[in-house]
Amino acid sequence: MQEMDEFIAMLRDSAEGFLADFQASAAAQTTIAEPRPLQRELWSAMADLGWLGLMLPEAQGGLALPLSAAAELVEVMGRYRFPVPYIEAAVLPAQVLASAGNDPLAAQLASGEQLFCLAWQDHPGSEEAFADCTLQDGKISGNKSFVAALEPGSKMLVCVNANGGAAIGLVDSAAAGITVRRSASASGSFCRVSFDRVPFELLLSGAAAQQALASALAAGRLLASAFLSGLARACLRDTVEYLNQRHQFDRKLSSFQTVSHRCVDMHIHIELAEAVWRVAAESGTAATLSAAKARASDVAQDVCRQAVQLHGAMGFTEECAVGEYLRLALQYGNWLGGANAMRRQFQSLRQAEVPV
Amino acid sequence: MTPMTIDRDALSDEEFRGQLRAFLAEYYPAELKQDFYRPFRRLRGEPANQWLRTLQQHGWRAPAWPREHGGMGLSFRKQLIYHEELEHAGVARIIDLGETQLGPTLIKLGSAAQCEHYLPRILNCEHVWCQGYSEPNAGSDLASLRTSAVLEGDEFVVNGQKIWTTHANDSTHIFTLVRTGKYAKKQQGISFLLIDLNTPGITIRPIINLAGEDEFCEVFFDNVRVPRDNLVGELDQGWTVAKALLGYERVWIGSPALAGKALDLGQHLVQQLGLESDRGVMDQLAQLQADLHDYRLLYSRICDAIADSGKPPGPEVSMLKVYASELLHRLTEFNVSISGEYGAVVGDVELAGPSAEVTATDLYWQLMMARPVTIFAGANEIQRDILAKTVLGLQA
Repeated sequence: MQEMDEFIAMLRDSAEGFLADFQASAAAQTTIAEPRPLQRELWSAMADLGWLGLMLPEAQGGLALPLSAAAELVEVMGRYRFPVPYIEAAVLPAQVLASAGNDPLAAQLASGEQLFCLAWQDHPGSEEAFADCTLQDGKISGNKSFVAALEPGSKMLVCVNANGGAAIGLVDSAAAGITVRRSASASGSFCRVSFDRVPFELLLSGAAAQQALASALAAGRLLASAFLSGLARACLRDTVEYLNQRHQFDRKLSSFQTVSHRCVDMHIHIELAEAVWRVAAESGTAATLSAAKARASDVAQDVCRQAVQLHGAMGFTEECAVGEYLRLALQYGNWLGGANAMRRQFQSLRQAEVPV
Repeated sequence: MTPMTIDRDALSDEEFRGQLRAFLAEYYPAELKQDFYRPFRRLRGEPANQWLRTLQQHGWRAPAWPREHGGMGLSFRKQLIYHEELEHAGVARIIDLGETQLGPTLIKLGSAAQCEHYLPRILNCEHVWCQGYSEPNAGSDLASLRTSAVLEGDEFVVNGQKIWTTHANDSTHIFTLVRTGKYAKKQQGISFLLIDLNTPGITIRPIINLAGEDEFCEVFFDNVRVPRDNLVGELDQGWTVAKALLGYERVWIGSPALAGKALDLGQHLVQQLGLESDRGVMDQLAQLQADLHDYRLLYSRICDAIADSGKPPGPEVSMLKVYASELLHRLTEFNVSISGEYGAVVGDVELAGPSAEVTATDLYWQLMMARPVTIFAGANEIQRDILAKTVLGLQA
């Protein structure tokens, strides 16, 4: 346990250094309403740090760390408003490949030489993944929505309906018969993907496929919560710094109670968010995980929106970082389950998990 | 085995929990449990003293006091379990300021003679204490207090007025903050003085609160003569004496227990009133359920950190008081808002829904009993000022 604590402290430290350097570089610049391509050089550097295969077994080129360690790393990414699809292109596909026990593919992911993405969602707002796309004669047809981190050369892990059963398999994103409609997001882009008789290589089927997807989504939700919690904390920290510096009416803005009390409330909500995702990472039930995602999604979006107001006109510009925070809060706060959906899920799950 | 010889702190957490649970199941009177009628039930007067004596007889009294002073000598972690089990068993709350406030103060800063005289009498309820801090012009700004104590020979002569003195009319003694000196800083020149409420010159006037209870009182002091020996700590250093316990007070006020009881009732009302198919109500309920769930996790996280550090709570515990009290507000408001016309009733009501079941409750009492929690022990606005300055570093 102590060894793990020390390891996590080292992981966080090295992440701080790497992310601070990235933050200061030109590569960190973001644009509005334009899909942001994944930077392969940066991705290789993340592979060198062991981040891409953080939770993969050592046999697959990974570090075999627990989910809680990944959550710690991602929380630091949130603090540095890291606009890179780590959860999308590393964590989600790695969870599926690990479940499939596919060593060569997992090793390719961990080394960064091959990009992967997970195409799971049948319809926006739905948890369904194994209905819309159907497999026939080794080829799939149908649609997937909000596929994140679909990059040139990516291999897609697609959830499909194989004669009424669940299956997950590999699809080459360059194959004929694929149509993509791309929208921009803070960390890259989302795609609506249509398949028309596209070749499909089976990796997992039946209950194993369902479990693989469930574990990938659970990991994704936990890490998104940790990211949002770190993001909100940094956004509030920057806001407090700004309020302490800026004078109006011969007073510091921070001295106005209407301003400072709002900051206190944001702080309390961030503390709540962190308490919940940490429990979810260590020992939490499914209900606690849903609660974590609901809380973090609400808190991060609220803190970042309030930061716009508290920065005054400056907050409405791209001259300060508030917009970058807010766009990432929108990304991870509304993807993989928004606050309302997650709270409803929490409500129905908690009835099955009545505490002692 | 006498209570003094039992060392329950030496038990494992599970054994401790099991023993306490069994004790409460056997000895706590069913008719005094918190229920849908009185989810925040409190005991005062004789029923309270009876239960405290039962605790005393079985070695479950004064969890935080050291064993050499007759307490249980529990670690902070076991105190948390103690409070959890009382909550779990529906044990009514008792405002026992002798145990929670004065005892620890005397143990820390009182003289040996004061400890020897007062502590056993607190434990056996011969003395029941109330707290005389607030005054008409010294509420959240407590250091502005003006009740004076002037030394004449071996006695202080006390004149002035205290207010919001909870349960003064059930108490035998009052511990007070009084002004004994004038300094540039108003926190200086305050002393901590113990006063027998039977002393000539004291008048107690109950104040009826919004819930219809007379638990608040005004206490008037007219040339009240108090032995000099009743001074706790140094003369003029009473502010330090009083402040020593504020952190712990905020931890206990921040307990999610009351909110848990209010949510239990809310969930019951939703069922009974047939509102489970009302998506709007269910979403409001989901928010409250998530808020309490998340808050419980934050509360244990902060309490664990205090237990691990072995140090008194820092200013961050003001968060607990703020969030728990406002959550309690929202829960009692939810319970009124979903209850339709029943929400208009002031007092007891038998609430019936589509099923044959009837719930006896008092939504008004609950709504009103939740109000002062955001005000007492430093209004939430003051807590936010403290947090803004000390935790967030927002500059004045």
